[in-house]
Order: sequence, then C-alpha cells, then structure tokens
Amino acid sequence: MTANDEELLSALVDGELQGEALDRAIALVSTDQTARERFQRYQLASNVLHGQAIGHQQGDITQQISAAISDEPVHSVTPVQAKTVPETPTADVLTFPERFWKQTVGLVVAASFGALAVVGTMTQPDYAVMPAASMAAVEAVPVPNVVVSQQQVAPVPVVTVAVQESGNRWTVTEQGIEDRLNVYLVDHNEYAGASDIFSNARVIAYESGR
Amino acid sequence: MSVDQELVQRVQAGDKSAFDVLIMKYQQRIINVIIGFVHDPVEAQDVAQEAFIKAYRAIPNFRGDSAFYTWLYRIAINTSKNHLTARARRPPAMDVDATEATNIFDAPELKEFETPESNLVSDELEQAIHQAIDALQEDTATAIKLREFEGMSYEEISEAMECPIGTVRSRIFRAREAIEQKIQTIMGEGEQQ
Repeated sequence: MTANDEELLSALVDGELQGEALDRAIALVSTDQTARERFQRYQLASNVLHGQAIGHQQGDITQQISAAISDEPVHSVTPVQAKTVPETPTADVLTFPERFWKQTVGLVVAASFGALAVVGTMTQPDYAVMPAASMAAVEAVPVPNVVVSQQQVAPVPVVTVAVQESGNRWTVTEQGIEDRLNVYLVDHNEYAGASDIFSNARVIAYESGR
Repeated sequence: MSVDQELVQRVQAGDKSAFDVLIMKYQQRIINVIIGFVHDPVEAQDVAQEAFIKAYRAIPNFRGDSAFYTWLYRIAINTSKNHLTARARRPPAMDVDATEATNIFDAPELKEFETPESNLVSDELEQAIHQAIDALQEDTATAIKLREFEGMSYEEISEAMECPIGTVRSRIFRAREAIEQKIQTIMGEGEQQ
C-alpha cells in the first residue's frame, strides 16, 4: 500500500472521494487487510473526536456480514436518484430598467382610475351629471306658477303653491317651503343614487360646481 | 452527491464491495446503539450483523430521502427490539432519535449502558488523540481541527487556510497518521492486558 493509497483512505473517512478515486479506495478496503485495518482506525479516531464511540472493544464484523450476504442475490436495480431539485430549463428573461417598471405601474394605475370613472359615470342615472337646477327642474316639472292640486288624494282644503326655477335655487312663494325644497335639493345631489366611492365623487363634483 | 449516496447506488447496481465500506464506516456506531438495548457487547455484534443483512436486502428500496445512517439506525433499532421480544425480554421504553444518536453525548439514554472499563478506554483514546493533535505542526493541527471539530469540507478548509485542496488532504492525512499511531499503541496495550 503506497502513501497515496493511505491518503485515499483518509479522504474516504471524510467522504471526499468520487469517481476513480472512490473505486480505488473501495478496492483497497475490500482486498487489502492492512488497508481495512487502517481505515477502521481512521474511522475510530474520527468517531471518538465526534463523541460517537463509547469504547467497547469491538471486533470487525465486516467479514461475517460479507460472508452472510455472499449467498444473497446481487442487486441490479437502477439506482434511485436521491431527492434533487430537477434542473428545469429556464427561459431567457429580458430585464427592464427600474424606470420602465415605474412608468408602467403608473400607467396601469391611471388607466384603472380612468376605467373606474367611466364605469361609474355609465352606471349612474342621467340626472347625476346634470346641473342641480336642471335636475330639480326635471323632477318637479318646473312650470312657472304650476298649481299642484291634491284634491283627488284627500278631501282637504286645496293648497296652491307657486314654484319657479331661478338659477341654482327654487323660488317658492312661501319661504318655509322654499327652504325645505332647497335642502332636499342639496341632500338629493349629495346622496341620491350614491354608493361607496361614487358618493365621495359626487360630493366633490357638487362642491366644485357650487 | 455524498459518498454514502454514491456507495448506496453502487450496492444497488450490484457492487457488494461498496457495502463493505458502509459496514466498516458505521459498524461501531450501530453496535453502540444496539448495546443500549441488549446490554451486552457480544450479543450486540450478533444483532448488528442481522441489522446489516436486513439493510442489504432492503437497500434496493432505499430512495435517499433520508441520510443512509438515519435509515440504517432505524433498522438497527427495530432489529434490537425484535431480538429482545423473540427472547421474551422487554425492549426498553426509551427510543433515541436518529439525529440525536449521531452524537452519543447527546443521547443520555445510551450513555447509561457504559461500563467503567468502556469509559476508561474511551477516555484514554480521546486523551491520546488530543495529545497527538497538540504535538502536530500548526498547519497540520489546524487542518484536522477544522475538519473534525468544525466539520468543514476540504474545499472550505482550503479557502480558510488559503492553500490547494491537495495540500489540505495531505495535512489531514499526516494528522491521521500521528493519531493512528497513538491509537495503535493504546489498542496494543489493551490487547496485552
């Protein structure tokens, strides 16, 4: 056994052999009794240093086991590959500069808000985008000096109220009714048909148009 | 791929001599584990043989999901328990985790089966090995310490010591030579007694 062979045995203890060097080391410990004993002592020293040997005098049971399995059939299975992460082919990925991504994200956000605004507008009743005065005019059919008769509803004295559109407000002959009507108008513009984010959008629109 | 995995694949492919290396590598540790069950070194060798034969028969099914030693350890534990049951002896309730059993000092259940004689031999060995390391040249001592105490690979040691891997291998070998001579002396004295 050469010095190089002994060095191989030392490396075998450390698990640092592969290929032909491993072939050579296996052949050595399988056929050379001196190499076998030396390998066992190297292994013993390593075990002691790792606290893995408690020092019971033990004989070498390798030969008994080898003799016992000599009658066993030789395995000829295709070695099962150990769990390794398969190397999947990776596509070439274009790397864009950071500025590109910032601009793209900004564009996407702006487009989202734009689409949201369009959808919101389309789903609102038509009067939602009308000026407050016109809207009130449509609902109340503002004909100057209209006479609202409730005669058919209940036999109560007839109440006649004169209503007239004047700019952004209603002008009514009775001050109390005019105030109440204009409060309704404001409330209506703020809340009617509004929900979630559109309510906020509505308020903003109203305030800006005021 | 680790050397153990490569050896297992060689056995699976029909190379029985590769199994010899696995036996030589792990027999001491496996026998020590089995002694924890059967309390007798000679009986433990018989059970260890049985365990290794079972392992050889089952090795085509070993897929490498765990380390080879962990797999072998489980076989040894089961064989020990079956052995005691067959002899109408109750297996101990304790069970040592394979990862714990890698280091005997982390497995107090196994240490309780030490005898004064075995402790003496173990202590002597350990003392002799440390003396041998202390007597080495600094570079050689550093290489073996990084390998055995820090568990570094040859490549890592070569980077740490800024020298080629071949030099690391030679230094570790020289250290082992010195340690081996000490062990031989102790073993020789032990056999003479």
